[in-house]
Amino acid sequence: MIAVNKKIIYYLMVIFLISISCERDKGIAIFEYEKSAGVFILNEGNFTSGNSSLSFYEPALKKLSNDVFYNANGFPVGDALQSISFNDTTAYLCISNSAKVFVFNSRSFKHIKTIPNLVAPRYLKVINSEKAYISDLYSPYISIMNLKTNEISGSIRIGHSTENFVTYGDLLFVNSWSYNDKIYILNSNTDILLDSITVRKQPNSMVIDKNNKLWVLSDGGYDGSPYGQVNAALTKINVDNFSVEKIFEFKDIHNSPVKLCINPGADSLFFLSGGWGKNKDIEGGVFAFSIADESLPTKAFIKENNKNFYGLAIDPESSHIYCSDALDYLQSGYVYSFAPNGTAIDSFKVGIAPGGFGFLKTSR
Amino acid sequence: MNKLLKIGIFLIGIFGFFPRLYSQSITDSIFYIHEVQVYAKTALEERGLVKTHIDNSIIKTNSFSDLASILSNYSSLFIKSYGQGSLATVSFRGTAASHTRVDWNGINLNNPMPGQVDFSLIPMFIVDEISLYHGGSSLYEGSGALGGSVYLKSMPKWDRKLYGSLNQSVGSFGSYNTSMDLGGGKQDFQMRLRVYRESSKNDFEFFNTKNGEFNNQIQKNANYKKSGFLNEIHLRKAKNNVFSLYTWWQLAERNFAPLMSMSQSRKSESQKDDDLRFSFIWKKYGNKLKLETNLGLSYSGILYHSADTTFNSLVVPHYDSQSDIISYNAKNKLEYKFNSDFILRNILDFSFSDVSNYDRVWQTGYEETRAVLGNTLSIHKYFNQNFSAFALLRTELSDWGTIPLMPSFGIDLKLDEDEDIYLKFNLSRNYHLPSLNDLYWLPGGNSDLKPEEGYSGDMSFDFDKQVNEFFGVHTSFTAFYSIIDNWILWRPGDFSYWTAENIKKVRSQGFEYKLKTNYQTETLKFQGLINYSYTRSTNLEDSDDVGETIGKQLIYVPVNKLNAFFKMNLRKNSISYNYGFTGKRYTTSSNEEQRGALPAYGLHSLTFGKEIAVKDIKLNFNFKVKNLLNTDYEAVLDRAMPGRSLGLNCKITF
Repeated sequence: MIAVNKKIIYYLMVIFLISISCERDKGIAIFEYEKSAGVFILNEGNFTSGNSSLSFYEPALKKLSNDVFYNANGFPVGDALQSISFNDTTAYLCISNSAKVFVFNSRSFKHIKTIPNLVAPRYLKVINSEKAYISDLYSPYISIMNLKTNEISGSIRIGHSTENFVTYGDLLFVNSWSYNDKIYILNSNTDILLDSITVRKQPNSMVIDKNNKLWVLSDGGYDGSPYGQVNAALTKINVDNFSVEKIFEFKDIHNSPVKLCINPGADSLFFLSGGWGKNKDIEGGVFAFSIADESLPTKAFIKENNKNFYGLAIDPESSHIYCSDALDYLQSGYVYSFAPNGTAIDSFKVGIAPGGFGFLKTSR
Repeated sequence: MNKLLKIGIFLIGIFGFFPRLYSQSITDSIFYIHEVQVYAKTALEERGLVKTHIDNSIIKTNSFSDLASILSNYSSLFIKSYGQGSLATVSFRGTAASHTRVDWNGINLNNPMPGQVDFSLIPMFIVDEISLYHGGSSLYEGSGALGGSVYLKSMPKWDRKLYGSLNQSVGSFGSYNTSMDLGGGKQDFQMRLRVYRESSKNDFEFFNTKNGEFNNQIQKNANYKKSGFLNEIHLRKAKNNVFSLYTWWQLAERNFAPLMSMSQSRKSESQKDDDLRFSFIWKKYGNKLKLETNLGLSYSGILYHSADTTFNSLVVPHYDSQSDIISYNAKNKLEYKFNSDFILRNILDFSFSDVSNYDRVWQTGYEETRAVLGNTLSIHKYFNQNFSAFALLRTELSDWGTIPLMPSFGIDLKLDEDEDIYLKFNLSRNYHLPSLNDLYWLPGGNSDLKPEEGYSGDMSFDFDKQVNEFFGVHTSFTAFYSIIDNWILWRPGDFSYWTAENIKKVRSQGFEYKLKTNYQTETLKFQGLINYSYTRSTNLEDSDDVGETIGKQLIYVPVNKLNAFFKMNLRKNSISYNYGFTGKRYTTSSNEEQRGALPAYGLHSLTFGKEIAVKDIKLNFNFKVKNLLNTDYEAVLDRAMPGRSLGLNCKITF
């Protein structure tokens, strides 16, 4: 009798152990993805806390999903998520302070590959179906990535930090803002550094308009910087002869405008401006500037009021304006969407310090 | 500034060296006494204060440890540690790390740049006594400690002609600690030399859930080494007149491991800390007058590097900075006993720091000084044998500006004729000057900052009972409440430049509970210690008016913290158990549960000890298992922590 009891207990134990070991991993929710055009919101998180995250918003449905990367893969994005780029159904995340780029499927959010051992990758520019360039905040090189193998295949020596890219035919313009005042020009076919254009100190963002003029927004440096501080400026450049056509200077030296964007019609510029620290008297918000304007706007197009606008982007299909509010950078931020005329559409809560955006189209 | 320096030196000179002749016997505090009782009777001048004295027996048996671990395991303080050997900061009652002041033998160890102390750089080997003053009680010895202060003392053994010890420990992850202590002298002269060297590969294994690889990894680039010595020379001119000169030098070289999510990078981060400190103390005790004069000189040199390596092995530096800090301080403490019921106390102190730092990558840096002249005057009186009170006033002048007055008062009431039950009450106002980084760091330093202001009050019940000749118990319960205004915070502004501002108002309230028991017979000794603290440190106001922070717990401050320690000595063998519980901590100012909330965790350790005596030589062996249950925990976001580790140490004492 006792022997039989023991056997039953033994079998029960085995069954019990097997059943608990087959328990699903905690923390990976099953994500249901509906095929609709969407906006990725890149939440930078807190530097050296590794708490970046990725959110996905579908404007047609007004539906928001936070932590889409973590929920699909079970591990976090990393530290200081900077940008997203697309190539067909693949997307690339440049995770600046984690020194890596994630390759993932933009439909399912599933991780495909990690490109490790970069220095501080900022933006990835898809040149053609075979290659992409990756800019870097600290490394003096731009990395060349093979899109077929998802591996680094080479590099271009720039000699300075690099940020974002704008293409014009075979030419590629790269801005270099950290203690620098240059726009570098590369031939994206031959991977050769051709020339550079000198602009106002610290060019942080650029766009190209319908008349093929390159607009560069520079913040001018910060108060007390060993690199010096000058007034911020918006510079208009002729891309055929690389000459500076006009410089629009910001009157207040404490103004530090960032995030230059252009509408789908490529005739209206938008940027974020406002004071920080001591200089909260400057009216903050989203400013609009037509390429035909003679002078810089003095009033905000969308007022910041008591928010803390951190990121700005314009949907290339719908023309909707998206801007993010980082609050105190230590809690979940918000994103606000507006119609092209400035009417508010929606607002939603995302991750910590939302800074970048990426627009996904279903037609791709 | 020069004027202030001259005034300071002149005043110290007047008070410090005023000749008085008293030929009375030496008071007890010069001798090193083995603690037999559960607690020591509180002197009048410390009545009404909330003070924790770490048992000397705990200090003796933990000489291989570092100060952060001791405070975490044996007090109510909260330690935020980035990993073994890495930065460890301490906070009292949910305040900031810069609100904790640490003094060693009259020298302030707070780095004037960030205003805080890295506790992992303080080896227990040179420490003989630790006293903690909580909240407003910190004004008793100095200022700026809006949370509290830690006082460390290194002392000679006057009753020994020649003594020493040789210690060697070896532990997991390639950890070694070798130290030697040698001292001796006569009735009027003592010298002591302590030398130590500690190193660790710190290559512990951990399971990485943050980088997508989901595998066990070996921690890289977290190795460290520390070497140093402490030399003491003591001269007793007369029985009540002692001169002491301390020289403490330490060199620490540490590598800091990358975040778990960065493991696929070739990042390197390291720091070299070179510290040399001289402390001169002159104590002259009489029947009525006690005089103590401190002169200190310290130098700290810090080299910090952070870099990445590109695909073609080019090293790209992010930070390459050097800081040099030279500090002088002078303090004169005077205690005049009018009679056994009335004491007047005055501390005149002056400190001067010259800081220069420069970063070669960003080409930024600053060279600034800070001079502070302060005076603390207090009177302590027994109104009857059960009731005493004190009133204290601290005034301070600095080269940055005048600080408002810092008053404090307290009462101490014995509630029962026969039993040792006391009620204490304490109220104070304190200020903390902005640190030099807050003021002058580029970019973002703000020279318009105001000092942080703290109002605090606490109420304690203390109960001590020596039940019989074997068994004693001590328990105390302290409820605290404080408001800190103009709390300085660094916030990122446009384009990732951070700036410092007096942004916050914080309310910190809660209680600290302690239970200590002691049971001793000829063959058996048992010690027990439990510390529990409940801290609600919340945002009251935020001048940036942001989101959902009001009423929320400050980030990284746990509401609940508990530690328990039990030790049993049976003849020459001992076994002890430590348990440390850290409650849940939020890493978002809005206390989001789903975003970065770090779960609560408990860590257990067990230590076995054996002592063998051969004539006059004692041999002590200790075998320790830390993190006994191999608990997985995150003290700081994205930082790996070691699992179970073992340590063996052997000590020869004569």
